[in-house]
Amino acid sequence: MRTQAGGTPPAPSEYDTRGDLRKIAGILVALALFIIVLYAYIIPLQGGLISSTAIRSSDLSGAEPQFQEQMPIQEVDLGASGRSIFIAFVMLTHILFANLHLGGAWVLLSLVILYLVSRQERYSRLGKSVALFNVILFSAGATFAATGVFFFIALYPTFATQGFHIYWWPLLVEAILFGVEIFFVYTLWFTWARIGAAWHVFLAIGYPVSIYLQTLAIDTFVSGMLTPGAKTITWGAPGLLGMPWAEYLQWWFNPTLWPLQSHRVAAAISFFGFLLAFLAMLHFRDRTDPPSKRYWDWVGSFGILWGLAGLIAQPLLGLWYMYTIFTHQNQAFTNIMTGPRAWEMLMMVGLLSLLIVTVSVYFVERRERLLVRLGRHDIRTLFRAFALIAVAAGLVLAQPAWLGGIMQHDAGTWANPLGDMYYKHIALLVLIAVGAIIVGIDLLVLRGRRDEEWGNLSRASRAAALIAGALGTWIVIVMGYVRESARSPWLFYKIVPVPGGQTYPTPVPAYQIFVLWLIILGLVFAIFWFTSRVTSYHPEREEEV
Amino acid sequence: MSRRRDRALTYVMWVAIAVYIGVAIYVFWHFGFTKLPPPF
Repeated sequence: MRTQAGGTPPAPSEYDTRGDLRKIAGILVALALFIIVLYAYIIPLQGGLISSTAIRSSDLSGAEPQFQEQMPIQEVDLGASGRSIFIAFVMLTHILFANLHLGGAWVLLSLVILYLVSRQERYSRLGKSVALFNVILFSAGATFAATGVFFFIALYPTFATQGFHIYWWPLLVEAILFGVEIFFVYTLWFTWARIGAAWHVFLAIGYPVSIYLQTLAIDTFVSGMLTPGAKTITWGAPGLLGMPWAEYLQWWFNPTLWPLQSHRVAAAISFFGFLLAFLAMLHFRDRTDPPSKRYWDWVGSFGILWGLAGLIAQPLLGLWYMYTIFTHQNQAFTNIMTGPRAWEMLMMVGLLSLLIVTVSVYFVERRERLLVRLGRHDIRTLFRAFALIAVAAGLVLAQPAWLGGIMQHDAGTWANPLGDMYYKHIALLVLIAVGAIIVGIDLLVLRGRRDEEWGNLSRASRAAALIAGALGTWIVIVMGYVRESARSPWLFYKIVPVPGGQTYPTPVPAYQIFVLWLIILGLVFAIFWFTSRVTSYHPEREEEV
Repeated sequence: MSRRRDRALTYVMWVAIAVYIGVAIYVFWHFGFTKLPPPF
């Protein structure tokens, strides 16, 4: 018997085409246990159910009267946190659509370059699918962005007045870049394979660059809310500049701008890669012809590699971001690292660890057949060892540093020696190294040989890629929530408070945000899948991947 | 792509991965271990 690629299949006893589904069950059980322990045990015992508005109540009384809300509070009939829930829903959903461009544009550029270098049809086919996917979903992202602006104005009028005024010029740049971005991505898709290589590359580079600059423009605002450029907002005379140029620069190019921007780009690339893998697995199941099966198997692997590359960049950039918050907004740092919002960071690193474990399991399962056939038991063992090492690192990262108090240093708290940050730094370094070496082995050692195997996708590796897609998306909206709640109860930190005081506490409570995350994930994955069904180009039957 | 160029590219990418891991260790040492506050 010969395989589709012409190789001799390994002995049946050496691998199972279903894969080891126990590993998948283990990942799901670990995820469920982690969430249960976090919500039932850690959050209540770290003061995570107490609002920042209550904890920082003495600070709020020091807010200047001009920045207190002048208009009556507009309720939305969703309880005390209703307004925050509205904002969280539109902005977290918007982030997921916006990240299709921020991350997807770089993946698309890589596909254009790979196609021009290799002339392999699969790169062009996937690139064209990604371009059309992003063209169609552009309107969804823009709709949520516009709705968010409307909600800000209606629900937080004082903040909106001050914020949109300070950031008028960056927001104008952002608005113009919407047009530039539309030009690049729409033209890229409409002219696909109809223009010369130089123009094609020009459009493929213009698209990510315009998105990058557009994100930078909005990040001046987003980062400035956490680390404002001054201790208060002081307006000048009417004119093109509402305050001196130097002061504007302090607000726009505030300390957390570049760490936030860099972390966002890496997170978006990672998200897009894992999403690509997720959708590829659904197409793999949906299609029945062998060329399509081979093609979508390859797309899954391609997406996972991008996802992993973006993922291992994030802890480094995240550390830079955290250090900047530590030096420039120390109270916000204590909120999310050693205070009542620390459970959110714990959840984030827990999901990150589980994501790297899942990706390791994907590679263990996906390359099993190939490694057995090649007799590369060393790599096979290494992949398995990486999965176990990632589990060990994840167990360290998921440890709470303390229990029994709102702040880590409160009297009477129980300090968990295993939750020491030094161990967590080492665990993060281990995960970075594991991820980087997996990328290296798969891209550099197995690169040419992988093509013999496309289409032989076990159920376990398919499940691992699906889980990676879900976790990779979830972690993005958890990170968005972390930044917002780090700032609570302020909109501009220590300048403009969340209006309403103790009657309208922030951030969105832990249980409510959890339900909201699930709603958002269900909504966006339904949209992504149905859109992907009409935007994906499948290989013709006679084509080979 | 010639085999020699292919091998050179592979070598360069391994070096890049090693450098990345080295940078990660340095950044964690610089920001994480020495500048951020100790947990206790």
